[in-house]
Amino acid sequence: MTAPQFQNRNNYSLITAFVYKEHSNIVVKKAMEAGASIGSLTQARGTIKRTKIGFFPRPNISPSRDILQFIVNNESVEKVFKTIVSTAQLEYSGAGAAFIADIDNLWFIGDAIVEKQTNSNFSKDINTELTSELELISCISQRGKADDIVEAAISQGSSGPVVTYGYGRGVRDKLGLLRIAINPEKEIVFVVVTKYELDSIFEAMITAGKLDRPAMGFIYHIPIKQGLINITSFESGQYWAATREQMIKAIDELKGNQLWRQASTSTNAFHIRNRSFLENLVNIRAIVRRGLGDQYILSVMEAGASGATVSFGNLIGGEKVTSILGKNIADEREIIDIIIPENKVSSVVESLKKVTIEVESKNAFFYSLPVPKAFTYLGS
Amino acid sequence: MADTSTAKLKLSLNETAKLLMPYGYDRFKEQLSSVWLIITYLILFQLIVLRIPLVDSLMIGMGIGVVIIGLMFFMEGLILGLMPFGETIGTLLPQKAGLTIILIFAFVVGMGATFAEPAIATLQLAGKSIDPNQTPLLYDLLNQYSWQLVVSVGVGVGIAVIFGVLRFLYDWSLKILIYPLVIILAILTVFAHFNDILHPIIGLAWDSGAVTTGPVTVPLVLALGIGVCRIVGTANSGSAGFGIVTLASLFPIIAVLSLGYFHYFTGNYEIKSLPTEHSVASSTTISQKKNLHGISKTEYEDFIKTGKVPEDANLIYEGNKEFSDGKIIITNPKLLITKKEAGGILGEHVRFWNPELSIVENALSALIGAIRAILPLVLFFWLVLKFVLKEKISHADEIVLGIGFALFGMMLFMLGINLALDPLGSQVGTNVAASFSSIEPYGFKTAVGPLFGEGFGGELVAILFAFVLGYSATLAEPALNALGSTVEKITVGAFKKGLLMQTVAFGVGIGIALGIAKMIYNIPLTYLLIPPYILLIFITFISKEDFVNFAWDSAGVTTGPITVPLVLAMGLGIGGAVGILEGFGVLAMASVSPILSVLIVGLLVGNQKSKTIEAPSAHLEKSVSA
Repeated sequence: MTAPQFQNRNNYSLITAFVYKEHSNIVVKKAMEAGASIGSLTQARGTIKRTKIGFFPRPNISPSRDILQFIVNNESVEKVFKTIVSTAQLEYSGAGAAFIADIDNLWFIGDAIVEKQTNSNFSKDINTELTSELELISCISQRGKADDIVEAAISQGSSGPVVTYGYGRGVRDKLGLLRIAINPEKEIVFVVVTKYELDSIFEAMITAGKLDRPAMGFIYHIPIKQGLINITSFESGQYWAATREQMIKAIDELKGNQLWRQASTSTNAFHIRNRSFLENLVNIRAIVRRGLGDQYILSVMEAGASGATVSFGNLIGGEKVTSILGKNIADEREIIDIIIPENKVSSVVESLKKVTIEVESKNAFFYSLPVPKAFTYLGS
Repeated sequence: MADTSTAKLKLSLNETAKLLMPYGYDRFKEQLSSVWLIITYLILFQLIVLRIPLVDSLMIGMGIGVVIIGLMFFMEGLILGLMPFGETIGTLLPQKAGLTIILIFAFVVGMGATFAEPAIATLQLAGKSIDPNQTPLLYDLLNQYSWQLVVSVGVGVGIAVIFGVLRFLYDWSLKILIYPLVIILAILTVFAHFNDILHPIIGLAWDSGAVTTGPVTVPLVLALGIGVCRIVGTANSGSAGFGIVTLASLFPIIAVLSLGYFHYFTGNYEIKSLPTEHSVASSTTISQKKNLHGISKTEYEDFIKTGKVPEDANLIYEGNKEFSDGKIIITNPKLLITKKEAGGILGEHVRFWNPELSIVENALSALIGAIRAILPLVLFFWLVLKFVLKEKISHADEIVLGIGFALFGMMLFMLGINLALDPLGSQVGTNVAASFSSIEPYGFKTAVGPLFGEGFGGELVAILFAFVLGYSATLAEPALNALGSTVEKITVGAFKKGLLMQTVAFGVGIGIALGIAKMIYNIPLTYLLIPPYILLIFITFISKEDFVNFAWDSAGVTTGPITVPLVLAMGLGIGGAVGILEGFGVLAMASVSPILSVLIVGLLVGNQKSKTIEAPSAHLEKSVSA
């Protein structure tokens, strides 16, 4: 028996969509028809900040969201993207967001990822113009701390952040049974911002999350090629003809760019400290069968990674498994995020490959995304 | 896999302590914050509002510490061991087992859970002073047929778990199960309401629905459901593992009512002939009311025989008094002998420890209770895992440690309840009746009250007390804590634990206050149960599926080991003061109102949500089908 061979591609993109839970089934179906190769679904929550009415403060609302991530061949990427936008009706204010990031490298085993031909002749054009020059900020914080970070991001003018749950792995797993004393539960905040707002929102999130203190979390951003961001993040006590997001968008269109946003946010008297950021890192994301994550993480830590963040989701696409009742059984996955310097990429990828062959996982895949800037406590 | 042990870090003793200290401290703080409210409330109410000294204070103080440490271990054991264990089995079942095995498993879990945490003792306590002459069927069910009662509740829960799991597998809405169940319940209850023999069992039936789901069953069954849903659930089913607890609260009511109907129609109950004195006393509710200010008949007979005045009596001399020649002379004398008023309590000796309570004995029975509640179910799960599913469990060390924590924690928790919450609850619960009636306070031999007048004022104090008691006791319930965490986890924080717990606690408070009002004013339970359930059907219909799931499940978890003894003690105390013989119905009320409160909050939050979503789903469906 010959061991299945690993394949490497660099002509793929990652489309991420934040959609309302009720819409995700149909969006998944349409996106797969439009040519997405494979993907994952993770549950999350949005946040809508509410101002007080009179003297009555109102708690923020957290509507349920789903995070959909699709791996798409560069040829089909536009079609899949348009399909997602029109199916989830993302042009409507408050409906959600979708954006495209370039994947540096994609590795998979056997036929985990099939090059798909588009078999849907769906070609509805989107009315709204897409925004380029976006960045996706991801912030990993202790469970329960995300709301402060989200609030800070919204106050700095970002559109609705999306929060999901994750688990920190690393030193904890080397402690034996004593590991129970360290809570692995994390919250991961995702927020898409324009390049011009990036620095101020990044800084606001670091301050709100106290990320410059030990063991508080990690923040990084990934460049986004194109996207459509329509998440409501603010609900005023009064009724306006347009939401805050609609107004910002109108100004964007009037000005023809988003440069003005930079000016407006930096007028906030914000004390930007002299932080030393980590630069030129790589985010390797492995999507493996749930239950196998521990083996992968141990292996990448031996290869030089300092830790990993795991979140749980379901695989979209791939082989269908049915239960005795003839219903589809969810293919549960662990989505392992590892942030490493460029020089460790090859050894970490080799270790991931090694485990995949060892456990005879048929459809594991992993890919790398560039991380231009990251921040965490580095010791004094 | 192989090199886990080589990679293991060795920590020094000092480092280990540094790691464990904050771990333990955080958990302690968490439990302290859930229990402090009910405990300070009870103590302050007794001392400040009722102005009665605390009996057994040393024992209670020690018990409170034991409760907190017990809860600490128990909750950690749930999170570490029992819940992951249940969830793993839940994920494996639909993958590895056939439908028959899943359903048999579900039934055994339901039955087993009932026998593991038997509520029969609670129900017998609630009905301990009922009159077999007046309510023969109720009396027989609680005594002669008590085993049938347990079995029918067990079968009810078993069937409930079957339906709960089937619902996950076939993606049924919880709503379509709730409507017929509530309608059947309403018909059975209304019919029983108009029948003299069946009428008394309404309270028993509804209460058994409320007490069946205990602090081990709820988290275990929840975790099991979540596991099953992780595998078979569709993205928009919204159920995500909830609903079994709801069904496990509704089916036993039907089962107990049916058992009552069965014995009624077969005539299997007897009207016992007891001494007439007893039946006369209980035939009118007023005559039960003891006038503690009066001298009793036996004391009078003693006085006639021996000429001795009762010890706690006041002597008032009336007549024309004169002072002459160093003597008091009363002409036309009249001597009035009455009992001493309250205030005599100050002179009494207050004990610090109940001499009849042995710690060793209590610890032993708590240990047996804990083992019985946890081990058989865990063992059954393990056997199924090993021999039916033939799977290994990951992180087995963590799970075994968790189960150990749960056992130890539950033992301490139950011991602490016996040492602290039970005596505290019984004395405050008994004494609260002093606000509107004259009673003999717990642990004393004098009369106190009515402190706030016999009428509405005093009764209002008792009802308000009941509200705060329900509210603060619910916040300390471990099962609700577990449900809250689960809801938060499943919705990825969209529905916060704090909000759910506050809403449920508020609902329970309202329910218990209504239940106490029912006792004071002798309102039939049917009048208080049927209208809310009809309202519930309506609100359930217009609510979102996930809120329906949380709301109905929270009803099942509210009445746990902290609330039940407190509520029963208060119910019996107030019942005694107003001359009602049974304490049934209060728990049933505590079950219905949290469903309402959670659904209403759900509607409030839900409405605001829909305002911000402009893309209508209906529109979307159309574009899909086109």
